[in-house]
Amino acid sequence: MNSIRKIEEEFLGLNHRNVGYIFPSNERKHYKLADDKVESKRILELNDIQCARTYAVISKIGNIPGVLEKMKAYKSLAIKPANGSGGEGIKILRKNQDDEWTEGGKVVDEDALHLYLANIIMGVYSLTSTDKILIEECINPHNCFHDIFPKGVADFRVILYKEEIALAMLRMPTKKSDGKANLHQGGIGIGVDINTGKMTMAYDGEKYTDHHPDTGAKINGVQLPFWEEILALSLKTAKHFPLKYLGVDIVIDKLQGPLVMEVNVRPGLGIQMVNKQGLRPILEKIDEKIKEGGGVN
Amino acid sequence: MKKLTSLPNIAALLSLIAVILITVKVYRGNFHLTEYEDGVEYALTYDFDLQQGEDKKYFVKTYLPQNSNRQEIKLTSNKHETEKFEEYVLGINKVGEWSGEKATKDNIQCSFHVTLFQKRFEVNESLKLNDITAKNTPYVEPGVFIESEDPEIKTLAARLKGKRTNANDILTALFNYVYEMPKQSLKELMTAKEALEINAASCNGKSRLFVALCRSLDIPARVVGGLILNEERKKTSHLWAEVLINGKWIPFDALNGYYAFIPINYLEIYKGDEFLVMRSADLAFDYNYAITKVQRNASFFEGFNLYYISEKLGIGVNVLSLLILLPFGALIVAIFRNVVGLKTFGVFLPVLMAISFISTGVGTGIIAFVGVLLIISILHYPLQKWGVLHVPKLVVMLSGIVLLMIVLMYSGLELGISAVDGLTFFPIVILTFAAEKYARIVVEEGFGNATKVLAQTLVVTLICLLIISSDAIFLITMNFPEVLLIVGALSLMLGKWIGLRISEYRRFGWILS
Repeated sequence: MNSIRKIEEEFLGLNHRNVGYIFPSNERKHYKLADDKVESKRILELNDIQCARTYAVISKIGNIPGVLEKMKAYKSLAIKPANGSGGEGIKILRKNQDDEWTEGGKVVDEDALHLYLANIIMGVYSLTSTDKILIEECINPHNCFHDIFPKGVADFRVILYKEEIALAMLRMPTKKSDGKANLHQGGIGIGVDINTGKMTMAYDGEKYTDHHPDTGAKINGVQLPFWEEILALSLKTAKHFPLKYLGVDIVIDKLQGPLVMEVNVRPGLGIQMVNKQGLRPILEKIDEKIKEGGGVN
Repeated sequence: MKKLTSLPNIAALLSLIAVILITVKVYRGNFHLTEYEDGVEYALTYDFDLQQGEDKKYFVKTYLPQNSNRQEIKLTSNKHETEKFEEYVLGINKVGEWSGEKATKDNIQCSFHVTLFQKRFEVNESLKLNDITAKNTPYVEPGVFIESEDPEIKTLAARLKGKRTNANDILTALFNYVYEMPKQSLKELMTAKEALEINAASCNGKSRLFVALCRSLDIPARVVGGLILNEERKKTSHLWAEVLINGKWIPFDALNGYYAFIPINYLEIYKGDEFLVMRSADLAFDYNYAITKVQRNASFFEGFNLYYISEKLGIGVNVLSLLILLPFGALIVAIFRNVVGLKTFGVFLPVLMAISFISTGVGTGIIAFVGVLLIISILHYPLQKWGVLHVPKLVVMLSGIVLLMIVLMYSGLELGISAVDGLTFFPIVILTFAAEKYARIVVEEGFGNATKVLAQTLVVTLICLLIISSDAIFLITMNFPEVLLIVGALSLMLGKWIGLRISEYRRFGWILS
């Protein structure tokens, strides 16, 4: 009985998240600022929030060949459906010595590439009927996490409520996840103490550990690099988006440091599991603080 | 404190309005709560064409079905130009007679509303032959076409009886003999003896032979005439037999193999070895029996209910009931998603699938769904490999499914399998959409996750089916469409409900343990 009450008091469920936080904090018309990566990029760039450089946006199938021609000026590309979710439909292309586009070491057939791009516009990866293609600079992950796991890209998820940081986690790839950091694709979540910027524990969807499951590298107590910058970047993002309950995804680039990759209007609730910490008391405290006139820090 | 227009107030108001409307309806009268028995209803029309060139007396006589404990008859109309129509009792039957004296060209349309109920008959297994035999009753005397005194028939009856003394055993022996005799579709009149000689008979020969065999053992029996009601126009009437056991007439149909039983759609029109239609000579005559099934009107009230709307607008009761059950089903799905935390393919798909399963039957429905899933998965693989664009891909899948359906229907037709009849347009399209969603989730989240969602969708679908196919819900919604206001109120409350979903208790509770 007690534990049931404890769960109810601590953890935020989907119903409560939607009715209590997303709906009152985020106006429906602003959802697209997060859902549509082209729109998010526009706001990020407008407000000088560090993010990957946009190379091109394609919204008509007829423009695909022309844009692809121009893209030959770059060495690597990240291609994303503007309205894709959960990392779906994202393609990373790199040039080889013969100036051909390759994906995962294999040369990409030009027809296949056209079809893939046309499919994005036809809305295959999005719930909308048609979509846009966002082509941007390809991030070179910083080697700060190489000791823990050397492959793929680790990324941060920070949940902000009323421009205050609520919870954060670091998502890291594993052997099983094939370079991807998503929890449901086999990546692990690492809890973060937002006051100190230290990692707490790793969670693989089933159990908690204090080390990376593949490399065995120690995790708990390790200080995160760029923590202050990450906090500042998240807060700056929250400030410039009219969404008052949001998730900000951040990666660390080798040269540029922390960059905002994505803004999420319906951030998942798994972050509570990763941190072994419920969102309810945190969000309530933020509300109280603002009521008392504490305002934004 | 709370505003008058706050959500809980509005929800309460909606419920209150519904309760008031329902109460008013109940108290205002017009309340005729009928005993709702599982019956079937038909509209039956005697369709007679008659023509006579000169002024001369003529008549057309036929038996009219009568009320009994297994059938309720209402004469709904009797259109004719013939001068005279009389209804009179002849023995235990009722006759309708149209007659006139002038040259005529008439079309008689005499319609009945027929409600049939399934009745059970039992033959007490301990009865001896002596307990059911009788003397001095016309039902053991031979008839013109029922030659029960014929030596051959008597010998056969005696042989079939053998040393048996149990009444049930003897009847079974007689019945089986006649039942196993080859069938013949000849429509002409055949007497008991003729049937025996030819050793093949249709309903009338077999019924007479069975009655003759019974009578020759002094078991009172008679033939009964009527119609097997199916949705069709036909000329064929049917004859079966009845045996008097313990003061009750028990039906036997030796053609179709019904022993002490007749199916619900047997309409009894007359008793005794008579002709269903008689007419004066020189009358050019043609006839048909037109039968249509009628959805039972189980309305409790006059006025505002869906039966009334259905009747006045000529929309089928089934269509209207599906319409009103749709929000009911959707509310159930919503509860499963938001309170229990099950994942389903969309909100309406489980309801639509449940409705599809109503029309196909659960067994056929699930088999069809698995079939559709297989085809979609098989088609999915090459289409994905070739990188076919999404929308054309859907069209290819739908074409494949529909083509297969047509092939199945055709082969079902050829092989005489009727199970594919229910797989009409609506269920197939719905099942195809569900299968496509499944295939999509397989690609996006993997086979395991997709199958989990599929299983949850099926669970919700079946629960939905259980609820929306219940008689109680059906009668309530049809009679009190006002309950939709309550559905609305509940949905509003659900829309503001912020409790943890049951699945989340497990999800988060695990951390604490």
